[in-house]
Amino acid sequence: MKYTPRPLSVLVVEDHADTAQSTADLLVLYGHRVRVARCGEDAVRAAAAEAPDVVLLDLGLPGMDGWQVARRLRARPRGKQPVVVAVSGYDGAEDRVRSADAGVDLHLAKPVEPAVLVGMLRRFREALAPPVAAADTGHGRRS
Amino acid sequence: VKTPRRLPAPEAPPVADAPVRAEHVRDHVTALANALHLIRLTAGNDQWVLAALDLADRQLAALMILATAVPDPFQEPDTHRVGGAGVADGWREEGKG
Repeated sequence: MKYTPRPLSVLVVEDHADTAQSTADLLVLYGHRVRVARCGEDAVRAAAAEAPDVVLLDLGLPGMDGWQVARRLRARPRGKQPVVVAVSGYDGAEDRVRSADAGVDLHLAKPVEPAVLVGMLRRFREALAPPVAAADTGHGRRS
Repeated sequence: VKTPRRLPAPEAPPVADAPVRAEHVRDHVTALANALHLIRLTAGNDQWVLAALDLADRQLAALMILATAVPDPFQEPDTHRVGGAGVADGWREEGKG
């Protein structure tokens, strides 16, 4: 039986335009479905419109900050909870505690090596989006 | 053949006389690392490579501006700002920067 990997739905929440777009481009090239939100409010709206598998969340955002976004995501029904990964320039011990309190699953400090990000998502993909069986025509089968 | 969706909008340059914030530097380094990875990933596709080079150029330009304002304990305090006295008064030309 043939299996094809299901793409992860990734929401990139990042106010720095170049970082947001280049991260999205990178993840698309690795086969993920990517949406970008440039502020906290847009992130919450995007997650409500379509639940992502993974949220890559900058913390220093205009308006609603990343910790507030994480809390809003954690208030969603259990089945629609994404993996929330903070990817932030905020890297102090207090920042990490705030992330844990807000329901962030993993706190990464910028700059994150692209290969590390891609590898992490590959493992998430194996866990969250197992391969789906492609249409089986039955050719070559013996009954 | 995949093509870049669009060139990202240019980032605003660092604000003159603003203190350098680590998060600004980290954002630009992140985008620069992404650009280099995109170049490796799309080698042979001119459109992608040129877009990624353009992205890398912008990050490097921003980092060069920020680099002039990184605090240096051996310099005067008022030189630790983008566009501050450290550049204008020729510290670097005198070999002190």
